[in-house]
Amino acid sequence: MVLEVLMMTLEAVMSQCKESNQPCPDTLIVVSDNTVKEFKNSPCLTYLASLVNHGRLRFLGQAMNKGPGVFGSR
Amino acid sequence: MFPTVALNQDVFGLRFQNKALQLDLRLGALRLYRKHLVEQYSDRCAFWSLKDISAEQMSRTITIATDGADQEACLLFIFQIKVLSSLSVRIQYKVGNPVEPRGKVPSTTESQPSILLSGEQITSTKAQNSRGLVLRLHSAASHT
Repeated sequence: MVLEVLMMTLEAVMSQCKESNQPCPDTLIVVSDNTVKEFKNSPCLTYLASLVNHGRLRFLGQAMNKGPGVFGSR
Repeated sequence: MFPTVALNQDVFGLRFQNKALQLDLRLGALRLYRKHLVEQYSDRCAFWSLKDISAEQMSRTITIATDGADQEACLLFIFQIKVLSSLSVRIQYKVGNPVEPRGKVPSTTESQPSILLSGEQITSTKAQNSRGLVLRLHSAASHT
């Protein structure tokens, strides 16, 4: 489910960039909790690697934070 | 400076304030608690810097921050995109037809589990109260 949401997000961003005639972003950074196994399993990492392999993205970063979340700070 | 002190005190069980424990245990708990706060603040500083980088148009960077994935309750969801203006996009996912509850949070009729994804429209309070996976998208398109 996490991978599905991530795919839909990227598709929505790409379609929005095409509609507005903007260059598509080529760098993706995903920040997530380190306790969620869906972000660390092989399908998710394979999908992210395939984006780089097919030329969709040039650089990809995945960061794991240790806290309960990054949204309660602001 | 650390707004999530109350949450972290629940995690640590206020051991360093329990006068029934020995002083060594209380000092150790306090040391771990302070270390936890420093690590959390450094994580957030890293996230804020990534957010600022993605806000620049020339950086061509998307920063996706996720939270609450371990509290997702359902498998099916509805995909919606709300375009606010020509350059602003708001993406929202809502869970529909819950079929298989899982995780810690059971699905109830009072508060439907939801998956939200948007730019700056989601406030921190709303993100904390929402149940399920929460993603916050930062890109140049969502900031302009």
